[in-house]
Amino acid sequence: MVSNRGEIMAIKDLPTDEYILKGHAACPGCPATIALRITLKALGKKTILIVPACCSAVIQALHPHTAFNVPTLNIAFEASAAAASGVAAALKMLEKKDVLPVVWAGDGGSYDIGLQALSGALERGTDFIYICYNNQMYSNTGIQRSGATPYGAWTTTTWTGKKERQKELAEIVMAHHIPYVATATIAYPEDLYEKMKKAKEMKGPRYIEILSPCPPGWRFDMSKTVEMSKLAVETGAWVLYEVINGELKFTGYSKRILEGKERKPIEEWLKMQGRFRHLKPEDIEEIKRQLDEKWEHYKKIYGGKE
Amino acid sequence: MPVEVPEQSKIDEFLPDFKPGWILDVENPITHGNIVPPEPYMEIRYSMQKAMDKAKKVIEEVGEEYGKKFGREYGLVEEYRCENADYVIVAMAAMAAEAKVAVDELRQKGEKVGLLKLRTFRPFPHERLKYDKMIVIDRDICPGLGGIVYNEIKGNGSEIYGFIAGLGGVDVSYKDIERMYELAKEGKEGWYPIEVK
Repeated sequence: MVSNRGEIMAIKDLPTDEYILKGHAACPGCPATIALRITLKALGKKTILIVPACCSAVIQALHPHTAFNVPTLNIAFEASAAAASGVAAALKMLEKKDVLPVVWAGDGGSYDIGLQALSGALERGTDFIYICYNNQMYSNTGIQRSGATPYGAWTTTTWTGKKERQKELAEIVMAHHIPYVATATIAYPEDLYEKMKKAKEMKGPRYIEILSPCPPGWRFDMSKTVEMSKLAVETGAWVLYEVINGELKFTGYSKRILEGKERKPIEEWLKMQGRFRHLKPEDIEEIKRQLDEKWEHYKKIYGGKE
Repeated sequence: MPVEVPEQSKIDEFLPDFKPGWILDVENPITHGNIVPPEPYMEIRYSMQKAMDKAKKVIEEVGEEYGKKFGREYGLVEEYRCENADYVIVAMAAMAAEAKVAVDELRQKGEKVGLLKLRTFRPFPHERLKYDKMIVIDRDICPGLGGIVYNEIKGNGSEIYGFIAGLGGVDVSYKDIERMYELAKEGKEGWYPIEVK
């Protein structure tokens, strides 16, 4: 991305403002905290966070302490988007046009439990940003499967590997014809920052999903969070794009894959994670088949055929 | 019954300025509703109970103040023709309106009966339910326990007859309430009209 001085922006150029304070309760190597830190650097002080049950409800620390330096409303699991509609309505009445309600929810609270509230808020045209930090499971409650858990992955409720495919929430969100949808992941903080900035300048419902590799949940070493995130993109397990008023554009490494760069073998990503340790060759074949199918679909979009 | 809405200017005079205790303010960021560990949780519940205790006095005071300004008073309960009553019917909300008519009818027939309408359920005005004989009509049921208001006041030393009536919106007219009064006088109680003994 390009800074005010017209130069390519690096991590060191991100604002020095910190909205995640010391003393938070995140696990070492937690991707959600990295993601929220960058997100709040982009969105700034005039942000109201709405947080359903999810890891971040714990990360912010226990009463009477908080590690979040923006006003934060904790709300029931299924209710975050509905609460955001309420906050947006109140801000409108108070004529506080420069304050932005932002939902910060996990995949459990987005893909599953909060889906109808999310759909409702999107359809009502609520002026807010909904951010789903997706760690592909209910990590906070001890690693249960969610609608975002990928095929084959171990969780405590899919202990022989998940037999179903994950759903594509961003695509469900796109079907609501909202102004902005984007995907990101923490290995590319500039990309994440830029997408947040772009979303901030827009009006209406905006949705951003951030892949957040969870060390205890995915069973990998806490020092590997960023690598895991990067490899997810390089192997095509995660895709980076943004959709402005219905027009989809791939970004970063995902764009380069569509321009002809080869995807790294998915095995590289799978073998780094204990949650895929039990996979048999035929399971890996099935994962590859699903991945190819997905990328064929992306190719068509990229080529303007879909 | 007609609805009397006071003039807005009078309401504005009466109501204090709106000052929310908790706000989402970017100039003063506060986290609302985060996870509460056991010890502070117990303290919070304790403070809630204390606040409920205090609310009783506040409800009475504000009800009286409202009465002075608007000519109709409200409190924890509303007592209707309870003076020298042998029996007091205890009811809430819509059934209490029917019970008023029933009390008028019964009083005309020479029965010494009154009505106590509960206006607040929490905090519960136990101290106001001190009549010797009470007929409690519950439009509610806690299966395995019984009528909820009945069970709130049971054992306070009064002679209490409990009825369950009107569940799910079954109509309960003043005639039904008169009937329940008659049944209570015979020492009967129960599910009206399904099972009364």
